[in-house]
Amino acid sequence: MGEQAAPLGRIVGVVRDQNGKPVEGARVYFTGAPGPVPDIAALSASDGSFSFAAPVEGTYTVESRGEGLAPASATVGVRGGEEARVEISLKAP
Amino acid sequence: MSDGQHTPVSNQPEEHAPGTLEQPIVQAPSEGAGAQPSMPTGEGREPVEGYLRTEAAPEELWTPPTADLPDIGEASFGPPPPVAETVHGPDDRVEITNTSVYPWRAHASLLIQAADNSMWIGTGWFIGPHTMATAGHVVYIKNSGVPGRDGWVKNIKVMPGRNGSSLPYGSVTSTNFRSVTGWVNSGDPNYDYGAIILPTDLGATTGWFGFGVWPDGDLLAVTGNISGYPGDKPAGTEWYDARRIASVDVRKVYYDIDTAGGQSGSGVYRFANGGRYGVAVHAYGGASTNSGTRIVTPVFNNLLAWKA
Repeated sequence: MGEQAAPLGRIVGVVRDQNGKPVEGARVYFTGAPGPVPDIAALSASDGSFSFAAPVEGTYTVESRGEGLAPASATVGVRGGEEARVEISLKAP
Repeated sequence: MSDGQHTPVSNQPEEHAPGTLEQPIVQAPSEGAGAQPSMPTGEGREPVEGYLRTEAAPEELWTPPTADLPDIGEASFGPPPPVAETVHGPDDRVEITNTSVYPWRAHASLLIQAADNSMWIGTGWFIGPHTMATAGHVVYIKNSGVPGRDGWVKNIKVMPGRNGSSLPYGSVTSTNFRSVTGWVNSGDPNYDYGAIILPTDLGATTGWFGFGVWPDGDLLAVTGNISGYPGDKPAGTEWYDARRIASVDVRKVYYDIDTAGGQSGSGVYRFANGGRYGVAVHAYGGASTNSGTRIVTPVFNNLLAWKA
């Protein structure tokens, strides 16, 4: 495998609770990707936002988990150079 | 064989740049203060109560149906929650609750603040009194596509043996990191490894893992063990899994050991001579296999220099 090329796209999102309020500190990570992805997890910011590089074109599934909230996921397709947006809603279990 | 991509780099001023050493191919572990020795199972796994995993497939006495049938549990409880594709097959991970003892305390939950102040979680493992091995992308973010995010991270809060909200060895924040040109300059996943240098010798208390270089045949005959801090489990809990190494190439080790986002940087380790030795740094998750940066001679030499 040679040098890694610049990321093809980005996945940008926000985590909210069932009332639509941003969730800070939710863990966000890939659970599906068209190829290998770094096994790191983001923490959503105070406005609920997060972003990941999407290394290759294809369909990604992003899951989030917050304390006291049931995990939820969203699936998005990323095409050449695009920024794909997702919103994940975490609800009480 | 040196290919230049293992040239070590640091976020510290030039006069503190680390060198490389010529050393034997195995570096011994230490179990730390007050450790009670624990021996592996006959299959080279940790003796974790309640953890059971078989490698061999059962004999097929009949031909199973090929239709994609739901689990019977769904009849009563509905479909199961989504599982990360980095979890292959059933989720065999087991939670470690006695994280204050060796070897579990030699793994650390990492809270990472990137250059753009975004926050991330990962895992590291002690290789010396003040040095933790981890993934390159834990200490240096590459190709994020986000303005201001790429580069050395600002700081990492290291929490050894963390168990949820319990920090049996407290936490220490580091701003001193190491990686190599193959990752920092080229963003090549084959060189995705690095280290965190702590301002204290906390590893002398927790103990540390050994690490070593083994031939392909040796690695393919052993069980790989991974313990770390996945994001798909309750915050700050440590989870363990093990499985036979699936395949190797010149720079990577591949395995079906279950992991999830947050375990970047975990040690992939084996038992040898009664001790625990890292053979790779877990870095990538995939649908069919997970992988880590293999500890080959240049990697070994850098890890050795960084623990000095």
